[in-house]
Amino acid sequence: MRCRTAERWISRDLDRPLARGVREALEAHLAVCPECRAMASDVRCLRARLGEVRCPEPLPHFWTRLEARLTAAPAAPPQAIWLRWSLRAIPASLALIAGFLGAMVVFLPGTAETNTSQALLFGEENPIVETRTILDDDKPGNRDIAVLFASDERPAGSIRRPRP
Amino acid sequence: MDERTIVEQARRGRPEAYEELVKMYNQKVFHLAFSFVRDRAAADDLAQEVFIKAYQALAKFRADSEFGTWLYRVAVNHIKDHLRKTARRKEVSLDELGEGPIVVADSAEEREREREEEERRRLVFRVLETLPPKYRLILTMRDVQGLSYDEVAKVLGLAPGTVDSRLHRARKMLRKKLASPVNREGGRR
Repeated sequence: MRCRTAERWISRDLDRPLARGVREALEAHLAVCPECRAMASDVRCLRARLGEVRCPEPLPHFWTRLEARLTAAPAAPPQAIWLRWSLRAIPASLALIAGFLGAMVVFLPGTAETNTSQALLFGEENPIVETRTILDDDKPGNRDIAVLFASDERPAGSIRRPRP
Repeated sequence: MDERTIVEQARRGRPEAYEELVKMYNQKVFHLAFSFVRDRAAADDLAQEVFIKAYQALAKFRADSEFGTWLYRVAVNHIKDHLRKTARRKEVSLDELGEGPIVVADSAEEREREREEEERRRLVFRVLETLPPKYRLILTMRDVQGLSYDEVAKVLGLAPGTVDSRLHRARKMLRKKLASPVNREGGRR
């Protein structure tokens, strides 16, 4: 065993029991190494000195004095802690609500386009009047085409005309 | 009533329960403080501050650890802060070492031996105070306070290997700083 290792075991021996093999190796080393023997003796002696400290008693009326100080600096009651957490939760809740509203705007389908008849109905006007103007057309060809286009609900711009 | 129940009641704001806890631990906390500051009034003041801090942080205490270990951790952190603040002040009130049980020596020879012992103890503590805080702290907890190895590891939040090496370095440092013959039994400088 090297002196460096022996020193570690000497210190550890003061805190925890050493394994049998380690103890035997350490004792064998101490038997032949005067420096490590001196160190073992010194650390044991120092430890004994430190343990000999004569500690006085605390000053009298410890609790009475402490109680007065505690009253001056009361503990944060549990409600206060919840309140602190609630205050922290407010910005988070607002962010969540804003996110939800944003998602609604992005993902919900837009308002469907209304055709002329629907627009007239929503505007509380009579769509029959419009139909009447079509039906009153003298030329049957024009009338048929007007009826055909009026029945198509797609906006006029979106209708593709077949190419010849 | 067991300690866990008392702690729970104190957490709910019952002053009698906290008083009970203070009575259980005030001596230990005071002794820990005293081993650092070596002054009765200062140690008493530190101990009071520790209990005020603990009271204010009681809601944060989780019952998965021992109350004593948690309180020690609060005390150690508070004392570390105190030591950091007073790091430049090196004066030590050695008169306080004389407090405690008075040994009545039978003869002049015995009185002389007791005086020498006292002198050596003071020297060891004076040197201990010159160690870097982390070594001073661990040595005080283990060798002065007599906390178990596991308690030291828990309070300081260190792995067993780190406790081993730190204690070893602290003892080695203390031995190096002290002249070897002084700390040996019956030895003189």
